[in-house]
Amino acid sequence: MRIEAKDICVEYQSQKVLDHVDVEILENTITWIIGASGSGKSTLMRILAGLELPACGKLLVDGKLLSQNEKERIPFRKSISVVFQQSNLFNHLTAVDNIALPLEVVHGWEKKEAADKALSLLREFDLDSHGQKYPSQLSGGQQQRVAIARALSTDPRIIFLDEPTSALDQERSVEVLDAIQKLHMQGIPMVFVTHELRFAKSIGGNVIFLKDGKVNESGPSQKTLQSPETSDLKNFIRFVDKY
Amino acid sequence: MIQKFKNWFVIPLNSPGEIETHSQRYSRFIQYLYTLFIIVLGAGVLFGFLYLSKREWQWESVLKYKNLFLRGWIITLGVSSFSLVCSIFIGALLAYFQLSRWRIFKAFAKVVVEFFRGTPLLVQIMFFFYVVADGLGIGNRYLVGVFTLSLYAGTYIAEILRGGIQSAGKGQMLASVAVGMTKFQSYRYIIIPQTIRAVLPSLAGQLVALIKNSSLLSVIAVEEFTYVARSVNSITYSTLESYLPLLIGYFILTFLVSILSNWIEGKLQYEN
Repeated sequence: MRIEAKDICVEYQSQKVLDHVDVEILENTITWIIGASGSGKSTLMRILAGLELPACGKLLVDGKLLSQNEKERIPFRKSISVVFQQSNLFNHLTAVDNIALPLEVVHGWEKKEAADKALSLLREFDLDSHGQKYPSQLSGGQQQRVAIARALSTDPRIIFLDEPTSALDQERSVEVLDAIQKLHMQGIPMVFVTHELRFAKSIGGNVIFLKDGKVNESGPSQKTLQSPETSDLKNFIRFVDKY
Repeated sequence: MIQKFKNWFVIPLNSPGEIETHSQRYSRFIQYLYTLFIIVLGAGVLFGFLYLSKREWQWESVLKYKNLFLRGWIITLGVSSFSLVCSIFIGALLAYFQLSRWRIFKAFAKVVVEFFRGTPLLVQIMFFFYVVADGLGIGNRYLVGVFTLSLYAGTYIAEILRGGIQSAGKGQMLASVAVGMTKFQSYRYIIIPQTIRAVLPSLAGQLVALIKNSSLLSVIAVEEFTYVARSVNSITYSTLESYLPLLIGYFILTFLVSILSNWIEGKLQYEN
């Protein structure tokens, strides 16, 4: 799936969050969106995932314009998956039902099929013993892994991840990154908003560096993160890797 | 051993450090015993006062009208049940209006909620019956009674529901939209089930209040429970004997609501 965002701008309370941004998400690869807090990276991801409408600019999916109409965007949303920073899971449903319900309601699966799929995914992410637990009974890392399992359940053409580890301690983060690595091994394209630069370098793909709502530098992740061209990215990498 | 003894007086903490000496079931059983104890104690105090007052009871004169009481109780049950259903419906509609992006609906809901919450129900009932219904040529006092009661309770329920829907939060809405749900599906499968769980205790309280408020319908001569008590009193002049049955009659109704709400709450439990 190729996604192009053209001339995107977003303002919150007359503050420019994204300032005429052009980005292209290439097919069959992983795209990293990095930048300091407040640089607009999460907003950009939500726009690319069709969850938010920009004040100006347009989104092309496989060369076709994505509608502004809420209903007409649903087929696109059904073909992608999103994992947020937190509160991904539905509080009133067990882990199994969190995965099974969207399959039933959104994708029209049979109840039994959906439950089986949910169980097999939970097994894949070492969560089989937590299937009947509610989100409040799971640790933060377990919740995120259930969210990742759910993201995978619909065979998405691309998965968007918005800092899925930023609310977790180091140990839990590693659990979640392991799960994401698993997705990568299965060859699923991803758009990943993150601070985990080392992880980005080890996996490869493309990187987009945002600064003050603009694309400051972009390119293949290993090369760009190894030898950045702009002083802003150099400073950012130095800052993130400081400790 | 000491812990076990202590648990007879204090509910054990459910923290990991605490040794669990009682099963939940046993703990609940002890609690029931305490409840029973308080009931017996309360009844004892009550009968003690009755004995001290040396009152000469005139139950025979009131007992003659027991069928009238039963009829009044059934009418209260009927009026309350209808109003209960209507008020939830009205409350949901007003909450929907309040959260609407349409300014006219938002303003309408705001005015209705503020007006009905801010004025006495007694006056509302009289106004609707003697002015509004009269103007429209509606003479059915039961219809007007149920309508006014529902509207009054509905405005309180609207506020409860609005708070509940907002507490389900933007995060849950975003998550449901992100998995590809339509707005309708998000409400149907995610927001409303969570809202019901969150508002149930306060909703039950509101329904209990509604049952008791139905007694005000006696001012427009709806022949409900309180109206009967008042009539019997005016015939027999046995004031206390006429009104005491209300205590039991209303309690049966409100207690049913409490049991029902506790039962539903138990079914919807999903938090620690």
